[in-house]
Order: sequence, then structure tokens, then C-alpha cells
Amino acid sequence: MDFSLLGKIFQGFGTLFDSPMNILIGRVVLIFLGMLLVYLGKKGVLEPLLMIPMGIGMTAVNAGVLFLDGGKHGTLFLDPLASEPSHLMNILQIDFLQPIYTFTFSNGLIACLVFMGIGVLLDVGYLLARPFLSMFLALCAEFGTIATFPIAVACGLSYNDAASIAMVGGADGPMVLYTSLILSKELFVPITVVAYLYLGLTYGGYPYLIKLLIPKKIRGMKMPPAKKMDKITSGEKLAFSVIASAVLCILFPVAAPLFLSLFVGVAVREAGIETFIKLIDGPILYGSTFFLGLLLGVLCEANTILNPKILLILILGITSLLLSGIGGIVGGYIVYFFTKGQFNPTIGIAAVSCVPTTAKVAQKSVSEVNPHEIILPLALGANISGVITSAILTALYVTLVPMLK
Amino acid sequence: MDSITLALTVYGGGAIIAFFVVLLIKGIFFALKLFKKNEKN
Repeated sequence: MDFSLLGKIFQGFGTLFDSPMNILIGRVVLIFLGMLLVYLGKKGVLEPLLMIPMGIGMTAVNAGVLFLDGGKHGTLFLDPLASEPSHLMNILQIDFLQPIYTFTFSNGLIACLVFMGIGVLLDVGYLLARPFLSMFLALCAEFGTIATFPIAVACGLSYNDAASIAMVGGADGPMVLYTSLILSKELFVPITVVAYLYLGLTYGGYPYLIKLLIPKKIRGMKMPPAKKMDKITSGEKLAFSVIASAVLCILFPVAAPLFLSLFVGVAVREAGIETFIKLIDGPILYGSTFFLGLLLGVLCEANTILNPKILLILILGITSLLLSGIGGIVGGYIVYFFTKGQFNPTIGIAAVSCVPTTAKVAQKSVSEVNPHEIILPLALGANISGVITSAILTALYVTLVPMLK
Repeated sequence: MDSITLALTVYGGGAIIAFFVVLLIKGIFFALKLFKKNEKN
């Protein structure tokens, strides 16, 4: 039997052995990496909502490569690089995920829909109860977002790519997607995939960082009861969302879609419109998370993701996230010393804006030492401030970096 | 502009804007409370 005929019948194998060695190895590794992601998602080590569709998409896209016209290799999933209108129109009718990619992913809509869902989940009352403390911690926890930028430039990345990878330190997936789509079109696939992989690891990795930097005695300390605060009414929270949205949109029109998405979620929640809350909190949030995971997986085709810069992106991404975690804890220590030991520095890590994961990590780390100590309200305040500061820094990067050209 | 200056500009700008938003909100809440208090008296 002629092997080339077999390769034409079973084109997944045919294209595999017809590829250069680096692509062949890359495809095999990515097929097994996808399976590993599904396994880790099922075990709860990584976020299952994202990792299960992403893992199976990654496996399928690297297995399902076929011969196209002219002997070129390709898939029937999507072509992320199609931009020429007539080619795009053609691809839209062939690749089954291309319409979702073109109309929701490459224009940032899916990031905004996820952000809208996050808005509905946020109770800004925690932030408004202690705004200065929360904002201070959030700014400390943006250390990675700032410090990684010059490091990335020193490593040879352009300002655009450096800003996109630095945003991983903000620990907010939609924000990284939005920044890299605007600033770094060629690298947005590897940067976003790396960002989401690392964000999945925060739940497993940050507790070790807390244990490394905060002694058990301080972690389990009993904080004095909080001073009685005025109750924040839903009207005040609604006013906050409208005013903050207007102010931030007028300052940074380029990031206005992100601000609108976040604050419309908050506004719907505080206005108590149950039907909209159910719509955004359910179908929109989970639907967009599912397709985001699936598209990210399908984008991990060896030819797209095997970029010479991928190793650098992996190192810079983890550096950024690590520095943000350290920055948050240092911020917590600063408040601890200023209040003469009346503040638990573990709360600082919650200011890294991975909502609500880092707040839960902080509470869990404290509960392991002192099960009666509740820090969640303070942690959530810092967490929500983290989302807002990350959005502000995104806006500053996407406004300032293109101006330097 | 070199990368360190740009990073510091982003950070400084971000901090100023974040605190500006907080101050604005605090100011509006203060004005609302003062208004309610004066209405009662």
C-alpha cells in the first residue's frame, strides 16, 4: 500500500508527517497539552469553565489539520490571520467557528461581554465602604503590570508587545485580550493563551506566595472589629457606576467599551432589574466564557502559536503575575505597619484583580490558620478596586503607547 | 520616551485617576448627605 495514499485518506496523519520537524513536535505536544488541560480542569487544579473547552479545542485543532488547495495545510475551524475582505467572506462560509471569531473575538466583543458579567457579580459597596484603603492596595498590586513593561522592552519586545504582556500582571483575562487585540495583533494569540493559563494557576500558586512572605502568626492575626460604617445604599452604588463610567469614558474613549461593559453590569445589578441580571449573569457570562475557552483552544494551532517569542512571553507573563502578587502583599504590609499591626497583610494579595479568585485565596489562607477570622469584605473591596485600576492602566497603555510612534 | 519613564507615567497617571474617581464619588456622597441633613433640619 502506498503511504502517500494513506496520508491523503487520513489527512491528519498525512499533514503531520508532511510538516517540518518543529511543527510536527509542536502539534503532538499541543494535542497532549490539550488533554492535560481537560484533566486538570476536571480535577479542579485549573479553572474548569475555561480549561475544558480550551483543552478539547486545542487537541482537536492540532489533530484536525488537512490539505487545502495548493497542498497548503489548514483546518476547518478558523483562520485568525484572514483579513482581506474577499478571502474573509470566503472563509466565513467554510470555517465553522470563523463567524464567532470574526464577529465577537477579533473586535473585543467577547472580552466586553465577559466584563459585563463580571460587573453583575461585583458589589461595589465593599469598595465604597473603604475606598482609599482599597485603591491603595490595588495600586500596589499593579506592580507587575508596571515593572514588567521595561523588563519586556529590555528583553527586545516592542513597546506594543511589552504593554500587552505586562497586562498579565493585572490578572484580568478580558483586559489582556483587549490590550493585545489593540496593541499587538501579531502576538495576541500566544499572549492571551498564556495569560489565561496563568490566571488559572493563581488559585493554586498564590497560597504558596502568601505562605512564603507572611508568617503564620501574622496570617492568622485577629483584626480589631471594623468601625461602624454608613450603609452604602443601592442608589449610591448606582450613582457610583454611572459617574465612574462617565468620568473614565471621557478620559479614555479608546477603552470606553470596557468601562461601559463593566459599569453597565454594576448598574443593572444595583438597579435590581432581575431579568437583565439573570440574562447577563447566566447566558451572556457563561455563553461568552464557553466560546472564549473554545476559541482560545482552537487558536492554539501549532503554526499560529509556535512563535519564536513564546518562551519570552511565558517567562514575562509569570514574572508579571508574581510581581503583582508580591506588590499586593507589600501593600498589605505597608498598611499593617501604618496601623501598628491592626491590619492583616494577606488582604493585599486580594487586590490582584482576578475576581473573586484572589479574594477567596486570601480568605482561605487566613482560615487555615484562624478559622474564625473573616477578612472577605475587606478582600473583596481590594479585589474590586483591582478591576478598576487594571481597566485604568489598560486605558493608559492603549492610549499612550500608540502615541509614541 | 524610554520604557521606564513610560511605565512610571502610566503608574502615576493611573494612581492620580484612581484617587480622583474616589474623591469625586466621596465628594458627591458628602454633598448628598449634607443635603439630606439640611432638609431634615
